[in-house]
Amino acid sequence: MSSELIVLIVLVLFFLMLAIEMPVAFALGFSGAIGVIMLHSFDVASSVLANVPYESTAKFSLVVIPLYILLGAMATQARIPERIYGLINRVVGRFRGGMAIATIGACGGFAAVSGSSVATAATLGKISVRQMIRHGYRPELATGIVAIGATLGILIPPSIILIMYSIMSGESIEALFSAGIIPGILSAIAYIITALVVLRRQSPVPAEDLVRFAGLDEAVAVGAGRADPMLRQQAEGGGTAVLSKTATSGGSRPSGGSTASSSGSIGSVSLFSEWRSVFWLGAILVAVLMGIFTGTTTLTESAGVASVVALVAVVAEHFKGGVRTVVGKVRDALAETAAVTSMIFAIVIGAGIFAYFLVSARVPNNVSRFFADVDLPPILIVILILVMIIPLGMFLESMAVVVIVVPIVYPTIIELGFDGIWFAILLVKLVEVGLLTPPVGMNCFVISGATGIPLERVFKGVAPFLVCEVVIVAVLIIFPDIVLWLPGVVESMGSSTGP
Amino acid sequence: MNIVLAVWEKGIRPLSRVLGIVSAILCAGLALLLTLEVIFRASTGGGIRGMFEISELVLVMIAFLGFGQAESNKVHVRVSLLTDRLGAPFRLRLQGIALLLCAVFLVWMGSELAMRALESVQTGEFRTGLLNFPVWPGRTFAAVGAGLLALVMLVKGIIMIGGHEAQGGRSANSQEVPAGVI
Amino acid sequence: ADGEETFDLTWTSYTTPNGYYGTAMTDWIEIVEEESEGRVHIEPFHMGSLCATNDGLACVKDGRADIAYTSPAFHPAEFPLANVVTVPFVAQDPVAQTAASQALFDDNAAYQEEFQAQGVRPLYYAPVSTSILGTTEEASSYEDLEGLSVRGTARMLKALEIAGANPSAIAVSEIYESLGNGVIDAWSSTGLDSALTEWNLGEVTGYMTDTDSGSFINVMAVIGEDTWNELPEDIQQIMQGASEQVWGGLEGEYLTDIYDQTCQAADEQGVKLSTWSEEESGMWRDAVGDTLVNDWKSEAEASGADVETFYSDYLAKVEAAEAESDYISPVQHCLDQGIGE
Ligand code: NA
Ligand code: NA
Repeated sequence: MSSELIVLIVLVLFFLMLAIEMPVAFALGFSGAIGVIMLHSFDVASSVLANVPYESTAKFSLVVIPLYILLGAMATQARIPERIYGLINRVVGRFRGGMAIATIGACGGFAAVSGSSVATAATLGKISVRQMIRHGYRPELATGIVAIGATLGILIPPSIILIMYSIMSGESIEALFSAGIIPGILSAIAYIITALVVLRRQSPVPAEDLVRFAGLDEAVAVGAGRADPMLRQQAEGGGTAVLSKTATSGGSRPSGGSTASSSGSIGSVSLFSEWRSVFWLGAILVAVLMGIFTGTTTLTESAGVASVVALVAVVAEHFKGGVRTVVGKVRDALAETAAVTSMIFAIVIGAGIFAYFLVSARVPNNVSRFFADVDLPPILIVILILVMIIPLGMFLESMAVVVIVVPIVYPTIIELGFDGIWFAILLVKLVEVGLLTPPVGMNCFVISGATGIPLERVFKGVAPFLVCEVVIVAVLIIFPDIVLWLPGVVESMGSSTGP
Repeated sequence: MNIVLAVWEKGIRPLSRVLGIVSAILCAGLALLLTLEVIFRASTGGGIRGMFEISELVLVMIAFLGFGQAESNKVHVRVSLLTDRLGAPFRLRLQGIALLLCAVFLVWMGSELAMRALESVQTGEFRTGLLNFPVWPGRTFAAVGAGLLALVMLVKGIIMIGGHEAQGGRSANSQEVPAGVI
Repeated sequence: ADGEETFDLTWTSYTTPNGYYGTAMTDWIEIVEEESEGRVHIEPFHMGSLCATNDGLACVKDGRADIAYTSPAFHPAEFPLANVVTVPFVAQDPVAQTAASQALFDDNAAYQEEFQAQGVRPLYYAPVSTSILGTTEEASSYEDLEGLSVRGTARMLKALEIAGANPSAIAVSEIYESLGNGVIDAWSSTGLDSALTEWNLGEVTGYMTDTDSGSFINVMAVIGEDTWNELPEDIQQIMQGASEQVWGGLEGEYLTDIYDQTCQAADEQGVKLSTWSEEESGMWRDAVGDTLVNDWKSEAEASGADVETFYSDYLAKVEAAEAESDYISPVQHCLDQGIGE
């Protein structure tokens, strides 16, 4: 059997396994292992399974992963994201478009403490979508805004995807992290503009959606659907009244009630507590950035220190609730960190097994050779590579995309004379697209799960933002300095401490 | 079926929960350890001996010991695009088959990891450093984690093929669980 | 028919294709492919893309790869005797150290058995140039090590600790940022060439000195015993010939080329180069004494070998090889050209 045919069979097997709901990690691992049997032998496959899981996990450079997850989980337990959202909302939420700005702004803020897009989507999805729908955003748009805003989680440092890129390519994590900051801010602005344009052009929210997804009373919703000002009044003034309705309408979803209480609490938290959250966010940022810019810690250590700062924030914020509450919150954050870390490493392992299969089937080498032989201007080759990543991103989990793609194309990119840091940011933008497209679009899954809004509608709402992403990628390709300027500054700061 | 359910409720779930708690405590331990390292270095100029090796081992323990609990809570990322469109009886059976396939894979992987761990013990595999740190504990935790997850998948799979939901802690679609982190 | 059979082999390497070993690997493959007239094809995999750094040996043992670049230092339990080279202050000359390793494989039965037990055989050994101490302020004496926060690896960590330094096992890729951040003041256990051409460490440490602590690591290309035995004798000979061509003339083009690039980088990065005096390096050597040799001996004794006999054989081979070798350190090479003064 030719290796091309084996690769094809393994891909089919992989998608079949995905279809019957095998976890992505084990679908990758099992189909990869079967591929190794077909390509080599059962013994070789066994050797892969005996060694790859440990070797791909026991790396000091991966220690930052649980730390950044812990950081995000602790920050959430300290209620930092929702209060930041509340604060921005207080400032700009007075006009209808302000909700979009508040949501994307809060996404950007939380992105700076969260290494992942999905965590950002999960955290802000529950708080913001309901509020936006109440303010006259169609469910498609509201979920689209959170889904795209959450992608800032992997562009603005810290970022697990950039860490993965660093591991696969050998580029410095500091340089990658500093490279993400400016494109991250630019992207946030572009998302806000896109959201405002879509908001102006959309039709009113159907009453049925207001009842189902914003928890509004049917009569109120029907009235509100016709006139936005009334709806706004209802949403702003009647916080508690709306709450009690939510509890009944969310009965079928076991955790619907907690959504209601968390969105309800936005109205009731004091300005003081919101500013306290700004302080905590600032303290965490200082700890994180210490590792990138100056200071006294390595990146791994700064992640550890930042998590401890977030832990202190949890204790301080829940101190009044008693020891039990504090212990409960800390326990929840730790349990979540452990489970999510295991989930990520399961994918790292599965991807490692699958990568061995692909690599030993010579797929990366053949692709590199293909690009070396192709007679096109280098920039067109880069664009071709980026376009080829889109279908992969549609089907594969984003970590798997990086693990599979970087070893294949990174050497080509460097050979063509391009900057590996610049390409990393372009790759992250395409991974973001993958997070937002069917069939495997993690951000959309999480937001659909958190809000009960059907997946198809979430994907539909994301579509305009994908156009926006394409424009941003084009801008970054044309003006690489947007990406490369800050890493250059950071590097010159680092070398200035030398003689 | 009652026996399988009992094994699930009284055996596998509590077991994966205990190892999950160990994994969770180690997460905090790792952050504190790194913070201590920073403090030590700032105050005494010297770091913690064997810091690198210890944090690598802790990482391996966090990752593998949490394997079972992650599945108990259905945190492992999956795609339900097709299965969401199916009726409950058929869906459960399909999901059950998927879990059993996972179990087959994990039994294979777990036994390979166990043999590798045994080999590591026998040869006294270690890495040279300030401390000559043994490799076998890490390999053993990897085998234990994979084995436990195989059990979780197997029992959950049997329950679901029988047409029942295997009750975990929280459901996959619950907003309490970040279904992924990327 | 006999002599017509073709062999499609894979080679996993943990380093870059462009570096020191990458070049040799490419040339070795080219020689073998050419001289076998297409009967052998070898596919290279760089930067751990096929097998992770610490997994190279297992990969070759289990058939996941046919050839691997690895180091005895990665596998102290599997290669207790071969790890004799990891003791600092024993062999001063890296070329002689690798020549001694090859000689051990050629005629020391205990050493051969160690490789047989792992099911692999070395195709060639590659030297790693002597360990450099890179500092932000000039460190020309043994006393300067006292209180220095310095990056090290393996047994060098202990040697640094004995000298009163605070060693840490930071990865080579993290040296640059850790220096910028003040986490460490200095680094060691890296050759001048790799420090300057791969990691640009001259930008953060303006002083690089050869402390004369010797050669304490080497890299080896190993092939699976089964794979080797399947190869016809003429191909085995072609491979052995390629090894001799690539690493036989070690003082030849590879070292000279890489040294010239290194000196150029030292010049561009404005690094001051020096070598410790006999007296200063002697003080460190005396302080370390037999500690590290004894560490190795106790590890190797666990394997049941006659460690003392083996060690004296190794020392004799190193001595013989050092007499033959005209290795000069990269620091000396640059200084001779008037660079780095
Ligand atoms: Na982030
Ligand atoms: Na996708």
